[in-house]
Amino acid sequence: MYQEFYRNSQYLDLPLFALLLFMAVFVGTVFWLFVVQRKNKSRFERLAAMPLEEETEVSHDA
Amino acid sequence: MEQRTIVYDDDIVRKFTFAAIFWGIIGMAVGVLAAVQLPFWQANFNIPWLTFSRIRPLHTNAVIFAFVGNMMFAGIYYSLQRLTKQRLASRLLSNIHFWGWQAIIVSAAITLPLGLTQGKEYAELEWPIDLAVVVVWVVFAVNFFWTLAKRNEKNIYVAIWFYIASIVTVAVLYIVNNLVIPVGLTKSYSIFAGVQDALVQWWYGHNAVAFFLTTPILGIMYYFLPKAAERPVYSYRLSVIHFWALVFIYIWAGPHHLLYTSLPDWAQSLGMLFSVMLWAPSWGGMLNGLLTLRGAWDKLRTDPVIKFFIAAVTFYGMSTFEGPLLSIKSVSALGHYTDWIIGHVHGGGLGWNGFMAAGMFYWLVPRLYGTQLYSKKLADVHFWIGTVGILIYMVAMWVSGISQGLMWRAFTPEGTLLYPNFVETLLAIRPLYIARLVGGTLYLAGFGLLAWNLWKTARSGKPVNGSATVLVEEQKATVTTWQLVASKPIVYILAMAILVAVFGISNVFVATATVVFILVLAVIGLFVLKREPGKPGWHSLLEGNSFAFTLFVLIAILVGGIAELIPTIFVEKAVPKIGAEQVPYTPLELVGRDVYVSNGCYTCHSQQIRPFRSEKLRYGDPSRAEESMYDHPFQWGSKRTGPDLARVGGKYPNLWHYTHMIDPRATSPGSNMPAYPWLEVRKVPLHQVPKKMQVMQKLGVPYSDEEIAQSQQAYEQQAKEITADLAQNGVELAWDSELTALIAYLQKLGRQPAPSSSDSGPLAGAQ
Repeated sequence: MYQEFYRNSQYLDLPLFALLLFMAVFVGTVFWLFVVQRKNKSRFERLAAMPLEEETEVSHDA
Repeated sequence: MEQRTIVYDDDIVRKFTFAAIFWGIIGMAVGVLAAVQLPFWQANFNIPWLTFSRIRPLHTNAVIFAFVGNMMFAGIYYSLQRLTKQRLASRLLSNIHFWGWQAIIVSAAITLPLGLTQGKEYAELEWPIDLAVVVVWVVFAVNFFWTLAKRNEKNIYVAIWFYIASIVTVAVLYIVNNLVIPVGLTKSYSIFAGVQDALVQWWYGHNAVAFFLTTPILGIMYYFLPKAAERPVYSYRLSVIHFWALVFIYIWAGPHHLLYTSLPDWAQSLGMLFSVMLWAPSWGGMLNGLLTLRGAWDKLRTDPVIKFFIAAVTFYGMSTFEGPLLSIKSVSALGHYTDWIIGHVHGGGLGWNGFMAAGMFYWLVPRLYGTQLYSKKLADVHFWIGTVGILIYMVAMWVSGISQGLMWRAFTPEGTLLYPNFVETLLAIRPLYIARLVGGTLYLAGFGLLAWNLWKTARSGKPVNGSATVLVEEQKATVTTWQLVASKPIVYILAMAILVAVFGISNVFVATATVVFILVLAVIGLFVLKREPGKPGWHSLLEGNSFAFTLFVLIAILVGGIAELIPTIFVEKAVPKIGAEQVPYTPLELVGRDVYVSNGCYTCHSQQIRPFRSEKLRYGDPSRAEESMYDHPFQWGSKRTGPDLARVGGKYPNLWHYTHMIDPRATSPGSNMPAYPWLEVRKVPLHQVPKKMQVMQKLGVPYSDEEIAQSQQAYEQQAKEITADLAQNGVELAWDSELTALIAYLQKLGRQPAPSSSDSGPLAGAQ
């Protein structure tokens, strides 16, 4: 089948390689997040709360 | 440790906010004017620069780059400062960014209605404006990354990741798709042609949706939705997956705009595959947004900001369901070129972008002026008017699009087309065009209420800037960028990728051995990548290094882009030519093509016949890649408000084309095409003809020097043959008019090329 795939262009290993690279990175990211970092809940909670930090207002002229 | 008080620069946020509202009204009003002209063709008042084909590009550019662009900059500058606990790095750069962007918008608003266009959707702006866009974008990027470099917060929040991806990717896309050779200050030709140009354009076009209309707005969602809900984002882990999956997948999806065209089949299949894969991260992101409201759903009844945000995220979910659905080849066969696509785009544009903008503005403006929203009730009215408007619009376009698609392919029991006259399908959907106009007008009215409400809000308060007190740690350079790039996880991932690639292309014995290696490497990886207790993980370090992070994002999008584009750029090897050698356009036809591009004919007419029985019967043989090999730019189009023109050449006499352009209803009763009487009186700048051919020659079109030298004579000779033919039928047309050139171009389309011989140049045999 791969011979059929390559028949039209010698450069078609590029998209194939990129697809496999994506799969590797995706699996790696999921693995890192849910296996390697599974005990690091507090860190993600702190990151998730970053937009909620308080601020004050000062006059535009200040 | 040092305590510092940071006063944010919110002045620039105010400027971008009100610019977005102003241009939003303009862009949407132009859209309404365009929508009026579909059922009521007279609404251009016979003025060239008010005609649908000129203002449609103005509408799309205005709402994308002026409305969403300014909104995005406002949101980015506001949230970037808070998330980095740092004031914007340079007020000067901020102001250059703001005024430069507005100047670009004004330039676009002047040039597009005048017909100064590259003829590529969402990339119509001519090269001097493109250069200005690049300069202003670089200014924005410098200001952004400089602020990021000076930040007083160690971690980079996920919203900023989305902003980084947007900045980097838009720069790459914009530059590549706008590579041109200028003919003059207001005219240029794309360096790509035909099938390559189509792929590059839709690689850009789809990713303009992805990285201009989606990823920065997702960043805004990840910042402003938690703010408005007063809840942290539902799952930070999910947002990380959402980000990387989108960045890797989105860049591939462009070819789904070219299904069943003469683009190589492998590229179409890849485009479809990645588009379908987009379902998962998009819906992951949507659920992450919706679930952020957990425990605070009551706010949906009382807070207009939350209403807009939740509706926007829901429309995001709807659009990102519909997009992959339309990318499936059998669905695309029905929906492509029809109003279904218009409905899909506006679901995303009005629902996702427009409502995210509204929610952000209603939340932001009171805070930028230290006051309360002028009227919550008015905001509620806006919400309901807008929602009803979107629904009317989308449903009208769905029904219209599916009706078109079904009518185009309907057969009689005898096997002929049931609706052979294209106008029949047009008349059937006219009521739906009126319904679309009602929906769009309602949406615009709602947006007018927003403008009024926020203007009154701003007037009731005074401009204020946000401020925060931060504890600043002394910077410790623990890990360099190179150490990150050359670290174990990267080496490990590369090794795995190489092994998987070997597995994919090797024979059965090597593949079996590779599988064993992969398993061994996976087990080793569990130990090698184990984090030492107390030390930050690799990705945590990466998140703290903005340069390395940006580099990885760039690699992610370049891998997809290059891998997809390169095989098709070398299409001469990838797609064998079929039939006789192609004959380039004669000087007259070349100029006629420029008239076609300038008047935006591609906004309503395609030049690409798909390999379906219904299309073969209606338009002729399916289009082939080599037929557009000299088309700089390609003109395949994406919408059929009128019929396909790929093989219109020779189908009708010159007189038919003349009459059709002066009064379309004289030849096609019921047509909604505007008349183009100005083409009859406008003269072609003949002195530009040799220059145009020289540029084409540089781009690889086989014009000889002699042909270029004699181009004006050849032009005149062919033009006079057409005008003499018209004169025999009692029509006087100047040989150097734009209409003569356009007729010559239309008569060339799809004509079988003359067989090549040693003594026939490109101009030989052209008629």
